[in-house]
Amino acid sequence: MKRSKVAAICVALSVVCIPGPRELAAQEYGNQSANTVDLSYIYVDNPNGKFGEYNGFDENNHYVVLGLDWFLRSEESPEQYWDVDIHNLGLATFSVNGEYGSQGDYRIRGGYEQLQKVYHDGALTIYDDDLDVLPEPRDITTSTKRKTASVGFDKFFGSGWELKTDFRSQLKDGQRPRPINGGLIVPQDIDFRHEEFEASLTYATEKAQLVFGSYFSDFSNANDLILNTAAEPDNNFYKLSANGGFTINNTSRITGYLAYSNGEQNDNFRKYGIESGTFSTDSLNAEVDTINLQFDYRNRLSRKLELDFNYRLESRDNDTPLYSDFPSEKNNKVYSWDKQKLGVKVRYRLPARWRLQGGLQYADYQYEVNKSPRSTGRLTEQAATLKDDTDELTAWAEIRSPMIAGFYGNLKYSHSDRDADLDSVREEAATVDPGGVALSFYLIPRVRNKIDLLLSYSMSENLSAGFNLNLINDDYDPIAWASLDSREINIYTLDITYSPSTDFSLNAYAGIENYEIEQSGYGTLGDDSSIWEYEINDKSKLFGISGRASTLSGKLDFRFNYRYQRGDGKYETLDPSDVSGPFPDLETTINSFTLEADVFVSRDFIINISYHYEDYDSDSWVWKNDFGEPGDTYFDILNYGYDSPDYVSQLFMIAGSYRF
Amino acid sequence: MRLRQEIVIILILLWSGSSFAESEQAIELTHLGDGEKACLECHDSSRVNSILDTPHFVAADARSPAANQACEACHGPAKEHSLYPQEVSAMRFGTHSNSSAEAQSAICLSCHQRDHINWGNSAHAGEDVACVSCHTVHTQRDMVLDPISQTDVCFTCHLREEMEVNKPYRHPVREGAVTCTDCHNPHGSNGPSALVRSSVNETCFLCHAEKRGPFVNEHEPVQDSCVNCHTPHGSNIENLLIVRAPFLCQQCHSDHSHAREAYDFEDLPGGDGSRQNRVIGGACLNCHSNIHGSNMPGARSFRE
Repeated sequence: MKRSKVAAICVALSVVCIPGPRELAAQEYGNQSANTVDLSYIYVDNPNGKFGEYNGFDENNHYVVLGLDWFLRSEESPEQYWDVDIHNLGLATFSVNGEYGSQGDYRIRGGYEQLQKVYHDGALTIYDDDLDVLPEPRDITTSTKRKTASVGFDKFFGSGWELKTDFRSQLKDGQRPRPINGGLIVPQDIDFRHEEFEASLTYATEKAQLVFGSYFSDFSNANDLILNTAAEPDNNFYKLSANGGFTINNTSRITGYLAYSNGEQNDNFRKYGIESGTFSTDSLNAEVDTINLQFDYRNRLSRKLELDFNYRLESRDNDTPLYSDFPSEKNNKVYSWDKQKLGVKVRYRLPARWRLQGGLQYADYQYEVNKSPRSTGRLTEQAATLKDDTDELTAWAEIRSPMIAGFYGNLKYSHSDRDADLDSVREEAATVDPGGVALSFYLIPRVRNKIDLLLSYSMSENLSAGFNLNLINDDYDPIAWASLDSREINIYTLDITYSPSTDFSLNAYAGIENYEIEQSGYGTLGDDSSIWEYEINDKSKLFGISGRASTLSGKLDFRFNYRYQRGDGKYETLDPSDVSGPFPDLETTINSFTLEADVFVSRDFIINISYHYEDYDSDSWVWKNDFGEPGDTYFDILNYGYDSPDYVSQLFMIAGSYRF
Repeated sequence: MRLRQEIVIILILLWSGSSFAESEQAIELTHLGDGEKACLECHDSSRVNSILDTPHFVAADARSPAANQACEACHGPAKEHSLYPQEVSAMRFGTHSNSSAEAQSAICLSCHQRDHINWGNSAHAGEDVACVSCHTVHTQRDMVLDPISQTDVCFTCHLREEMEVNKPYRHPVREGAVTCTDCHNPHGSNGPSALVRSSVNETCFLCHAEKRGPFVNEHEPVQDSCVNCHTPHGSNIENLLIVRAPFLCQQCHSDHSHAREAYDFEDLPGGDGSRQNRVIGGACLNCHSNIHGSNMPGARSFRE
């Protein structure tokens, strides 16, 4: 495990995982005690919304943070235990969880977690918090908190029966920036409540397992309307399921899953701009029924050959009525589908532990859109049912090597061909509204070739390396109203760990992602001379290096971690070639550096001192630089949207960790 | 006597390399039957002893190894091993094991199958990942069960995802507020990509229930799958989009209204200030902000 070897588990990943010494102590000294209390003092300089996006360091401030991991087992009755876990208490993002149980009999758990999200990409608005228009635009700095309280109870009965129950109540409140019709950005008051109850009853024997499950969810939003925009409506959902497995004999096993779910939404319409008297109802009893079915059968025909058959169905039946009493320019539409997949997989063990496997998968997707009529000044739509039948066949093969002279490899290739019943869609669409049906990109015909390569090298305990390659090439069939032509995704990742001794280790990792997408469209539908083409290229680069050195017989530990992340998004118009790309490049750079020292004052007490530096540079989410900085006028606000501000942040921490 | 020993050794070696299916050929070995004490006489190290402080060694729990042959419940009958420790190996786990990943996992599944019904169909099982590839049994602190350190375990193999969570827009995975197992079940599931629910959307709605609907007006790609537009592990683009707007929207909407035009520089700020300007910043989403669905009657274009 790469970073655990260098023992830079927490701070290397994120400054929020502050009390890191306990993990280190557990690894280095072999003390497996789970009981640790951490107290940290942290000073954060120049915080920015993005730096504090999730971790709770949302202010330029001093912080005192408490962590506790306490597991206690009764000496008289060792089956009884208490487990308390407090994480980051003192920050806006923290958690407190506890569990008490009698192992093999029951357990009770409860917890409270709070997650703060700061909306770091600043936005200008012309509104104040009460949505009154201001004389001058202002920046919006908003945040939300997701507060989750949970309780659970499990009971283990004899004879293989087990009951599990969980209740979770989430409250998400605060404000977030939200664009509304017309391009205006407003601070939206968030007051979401989400309550969930889940219960399952399990019966298991040595050969058979069966789980009956139920899930109930209720979502409510206290705010119905944001100016002239509908806010998210209340909704509820429940699901009943049965999941089972049966081991027929030593060579074959069967598993199955069947679930029925129902979602409803009957919140009142938002009627902004529409005469309320024109409706005969205030809501629409929107309702969706879904059935999931899954079946899998595995059989090992011989010591070397194994077969696997599987089938999956997802059937979504949208029973929402089509409403005809809207004003003539309005209508509604609902979406249903049946998705089926049938697959077979063959695994074969070659000599010397080589492994070969391959398979076929056939997928059939049938979509149906129902819509009520409408008539606008631009087009007229009749009531219609539009259908699409898409199928896809995928063939794949994989070969895996055993460990040979420290090398291990895995190569997988897959080819899939997707076809859609486009003619029927076109014909039906033509009778209704040639421009009103978009055949979504996830349905259009496509040929996909995919290669995944994994190479692993482990010369000794001291040196190991892993290399991953993922190549995806999608070639889309160009059609009139879907403009995705091709997509190439190339991803390379490399990870090397060198640890010549228990006192010294180095880890380096690097990754490159390259997305190239070509799209085209018609300026005028059916007029080939009006076709325009463009290319989007999104690249990501990641490089990191971390290390650890231990001195003074293991009583002093130094660690460092450097991370570089770069994102480049470019747009280029290919045809007509004289059209310069009007969109700015999307560039982000993150440089972060962490230095840490652990002082093992005693076997049970560790002092951790760390420094973290982070530099974020973004250019540009908004229209600026070559084209001028956005101003503060209403026109600019309408047209520019968000800005992702640069920042340089520093964090200093001293923490004490005591194991007991 | 010598011959008998060799036969025993050969048979045991065969057994220790056998898989779940091959257990038909396994021979009857002999249990020591002295709990963990006999094993600890030789295997007395802090790493081995740490098992004594874990749930596996709570004898009051009738399901635990402590109540069922102790060490031998997992490592197999060890009498022959105790007699010929150099020649006969007990069942070992991990990279140094002579047994296949499937055979190792079969030992764990003999008790834990009830919680992992779909393990055999999982991608991990298919890739010869054993339970102990991720789980550390001989410790009170199994890293993969700790939300803070879990990603370290997962990213050992999933390097691509490690890269994704370092992008500017991401879920709070690095903070441990969202873990891999909040969305994925590494032991196999009834959903795609080992998701904890039957579909992508059902999984996302566990936290984002406000986008569940059903809405009066549905946007087809939204209902079909959140990942049509979002990449959940991380993105360079705001809101975890796979491609920035307006290009993402134009992958479907290139055929009508203002979405079909190539945006010439002259039409942008500094030009005539026409409506094409609206494609900057939030682009299409500046106006079509209810893109996940709307409860406004007739809000077909998801603006209201």
